[in-house]
This record gives sequence, C-alpha cells and structure tokens, in this order.
Amino acid sequence: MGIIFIGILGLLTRRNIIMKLLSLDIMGTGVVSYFVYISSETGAVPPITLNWNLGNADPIPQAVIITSIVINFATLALAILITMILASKALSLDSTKLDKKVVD
Amino acid sequence: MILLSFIYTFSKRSHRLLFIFQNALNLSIAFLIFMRECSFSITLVNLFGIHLVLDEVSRYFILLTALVFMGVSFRGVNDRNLTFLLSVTMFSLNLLFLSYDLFNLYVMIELVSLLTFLLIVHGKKISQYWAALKYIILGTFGMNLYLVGVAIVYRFNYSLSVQDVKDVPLIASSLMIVGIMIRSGVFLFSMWLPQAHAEAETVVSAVLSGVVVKTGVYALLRIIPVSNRENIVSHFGAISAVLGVVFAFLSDDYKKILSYSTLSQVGIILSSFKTAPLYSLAHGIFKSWLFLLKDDLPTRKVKEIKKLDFTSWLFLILASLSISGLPGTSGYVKGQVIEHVPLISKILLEIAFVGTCASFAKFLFMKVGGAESKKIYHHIFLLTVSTILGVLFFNEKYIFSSILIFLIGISVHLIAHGKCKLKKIVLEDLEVSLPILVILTVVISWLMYLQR
Repeated sequence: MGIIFIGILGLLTRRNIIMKLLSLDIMGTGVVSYFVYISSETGAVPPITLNWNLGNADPIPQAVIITSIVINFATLALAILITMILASKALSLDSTKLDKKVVD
Repeated sequence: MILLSFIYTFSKRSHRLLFIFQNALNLSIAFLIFMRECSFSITLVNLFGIHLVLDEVSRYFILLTALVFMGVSFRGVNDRNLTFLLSVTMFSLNLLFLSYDLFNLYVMIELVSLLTFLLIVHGKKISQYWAALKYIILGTFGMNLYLVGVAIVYRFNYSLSVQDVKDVPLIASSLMIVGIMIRSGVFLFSMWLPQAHAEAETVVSAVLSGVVVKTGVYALLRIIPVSNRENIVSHFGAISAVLGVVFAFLSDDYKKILSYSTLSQVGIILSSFKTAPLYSLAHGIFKSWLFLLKDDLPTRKVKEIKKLDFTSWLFLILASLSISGLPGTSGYVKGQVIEHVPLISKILLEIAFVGTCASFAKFLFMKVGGAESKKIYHHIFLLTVSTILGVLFFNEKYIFSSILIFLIGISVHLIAHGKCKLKKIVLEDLEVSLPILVILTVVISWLMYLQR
C-alpha cells in the first residue's frame, strides 16, 4: 500500500510529464504487489500440486494480475510515445506550460 | 466479424462499403436481440472464469452501440486506419456491455480506453496529443484505484463476481466507484472530457460522446445497485447535471458546448438508475447526431456563423429540439427520469433541463441561405431513430411540462445570452484536476461512512 501512496504523491508533486508517468508506473507496481500479497496470505508454497494444502499460495490473484501488468505496459508505452511527440512538437514537458499552450 | 475488420486494412477501395455492411449486420443482430429479448448468462471456463451476462441493461447498450456506429458509417469515414480502429472499438464495446465480473470489466474498459486514446490522436494536432495524454494519466490513476478496490473485495469474498460486492468494506466500494466515475464523465471527476471530446475529429467525438462515455456508466450500473450506494452517486449526478449545463451555456465553441452538455447529460443519466439504460440510449443518439452535424457548419465559433444552407439548418434545429426534449423526439424520455428521483434531485434536474434548452436555443435562431450540402443520409437515419424512440416512449403526462421547460429555456437564452463569457476553465488543467480527484476520493469514502 505504501508504494501506491508514493506513486500518488509523485503524481501530485512532479510537473514533468516523464516523472508523472514514472509515478503512475510506481502506483501500478504497488497495486500489483498488493495482489501478490493477498495471494500469499494463505501460504507461500507454489500451488503446483494435485492435492491442495493450506500452505499453498492462492493462484487466482496472481493469474488475474498478469493481465493488468500487460495493460500497464501497453498504456505506458503509448503514453511515452505521445510524450516524445509532444516534446518534439511543443518543445516542453511541463504540464502547466502545456496547458497554457494548448489554449492559445 | 473480427476477420472482417482486418480486411479493411488490406482492401484499399471498398473499405467504406464494407464498413457500412458490417455495421448493418451488427445493427440487425442487435435489433433482433432487443426485439426478441434474448438473455443468457455464461461463465467461461470454471468458477473464476469470465462471466458474460445479457439482460435488459446490456440490450439497451448494445443497441445504442449499433445505432451510433451505423450513423457514423452512413456519414462515411475517409481514412482506412480510422475505419479499422472504429470497427475494433465496436467489437470491444459489444463485449464490454456483456461482461459481468469485476476483472473482465477492468480489462475491457482499459482496452476501450487505449483504443479511444488512439482515436483521439488521429488528427495529429498538439492539442489532441495533450488531451489524450491527460486522459490516459487520469484514467490510469482511476483504474489503479479501482484495482485496489477489487483486491480488497477479493480478499473478503474470494470471488470476483459483481454479485458479491454486497458486504465489502466501505473503502473498497468507494475506491471502485471513484475509479469508474473518472472514466464515465461526471463533473469534477472527469475534467479531461471536454477537451478530449472537443479536440478530436468529428467522427471520433461522435463515437466518444455517444458510446465510449457510456462504458463507465455501464460499469457503475452493474456495481452500484448491488452495493447499495445509489444515493451518493445519484446526488453527485444531479450536481454534475447542473454544473455541466452552466458551462455549456457560457461557452461559445460548438464542440465545447456539446461536450459540456455531455457532462451534464451523464449526470442526468446517473441520477436515476432505473431509467439509466433508456436515457443513455436516447442521449447517445442525439449527441452523436449533434457532433456529426459539426461537419456541415462553416466554423466552430457559434457567433461567427452567419448563414447556413437549408438542409443543415433544418437538421440542426431538429437535433437541438431533440436534445431539448420536445414531445416526439428522443430527448422526450427525460420525463421518465424525473419520475424516479427524490425531491432535491428533481429540482436540480429541472434546472438542468432548462439550461440544456437555453444553451441549445442559440441554434434555433440561425439564418438560412447559401449552397446546399451534399451528404444527408446519416442525418435522415438518426432523425428516424430519434423519432421512433420518441414515439415509442410517448406519454401524455409530460407534454405540458416539457413545453414549459422549453419556453423557459428559450427565454433564459434571450435574456442572458452574450452577457457573460467563458474563456478557459482552470479545472481542466492537469495540475488542478489530480488533487481534486484525490480529495474527492476521501470525500466520497467519508460520505459513505456517514451514510452507513
């Protein structure tokens, strides 16, 4: 949970878009590790057995969060691409400056 | 179907006809589903698999998708890549409106938003890039909150089905609701929306305002009635309806007016959950129609429009009447919304309706003249749909009140028009909207705690 808050803090305080995207990624990593934590609550042994024991990790959250990792990757890749284009076209990566520029 | 969409990218000439054909196919299937009232509930692969449900709510949304895309394809899309993206979007939207478990909802919403992102930047302008980037940052932030909510739900219930959201801790449901509200276009939550919708290409913004905003509404419709938190969201909806309409009335840009009005209309949709599917169907139709009409206008600045040719003048007036909700048009279903809301929201909603009429009254006083425009098929199609909807849900009760609201709206327009002006809203900046979102998350969890 701490990682998520660090991510939110980064989103709030940094003005550079790259830093914002980085904080967004940190936040996503926080969510992923929260899911992993939940799955390890029942135990840490990998669930590759035929007979289910109490010590096994819960496979469902892990299976589910892989999709989210992929989605996060895709989002980040697209966002960074757009940031590159913005940097070459608008010559700025500061969010306040960009907001002003777009209106003019 | 998906194969068909891949054919576009390879066929050079016939992609337009194919697009129309594919949409006609989709529309006929959606129409059949709607008329026969088909319903099913499948769980793909085992207990934790993907859960798909087709019921009354999904039927309305699927019909809406088919109708809006049909209108767009009648207008004609010039670019091959755009056609391809649009058709992929259509399929993922159809799948989204069927999904019924928390994680599948997340995956489909993210997929649709990535496609939306590509659609927005299609015009390759700086403003479009910036609007899309804002959208993706705020949206991903929201979806991360949503995922934390889902994780907490799983921790308590060991299940990802929507039905099990009932007895979860407050923080889980509030995080999920805030996360989706960012996507769905409620005022204060999604201030990225006006810029993104106003800057995108005409066809794209018709699709965005018509259908893509409804994805969030659909997810809220699935989650909230189960978790017993209707009150808070519907009050936020009513407030959003009023605020959005104020900005719509003050702005001068045609597309800005439409997108602020989208904010307010989503508020109206969310203020009553019983009629939400029906009203979003109506809103999708007239809003995409209005956006498509932008092509026929000479400029985006409303004040600079001196003359319009007869056909576009006629259709502009018809569309404005239809968003104002006169009897016989699709906006007329608003009467049913009013019936299902508590007193405070009722007053707020009436104000919002008056404001809608007032902000669209500008288009009723245009002058006729100039050359005729060329393409009118999509206008005729959407006009028929809108009229059919208006006739189907006709109810004598609201005739008087709707005409009264319309007249009040016009008089408000005549009195206050041009007196105050709006240049730029600080709320839309990224640096302002992010802290607001964080504060709102806290506020909503607090309100839910109080309500318990």
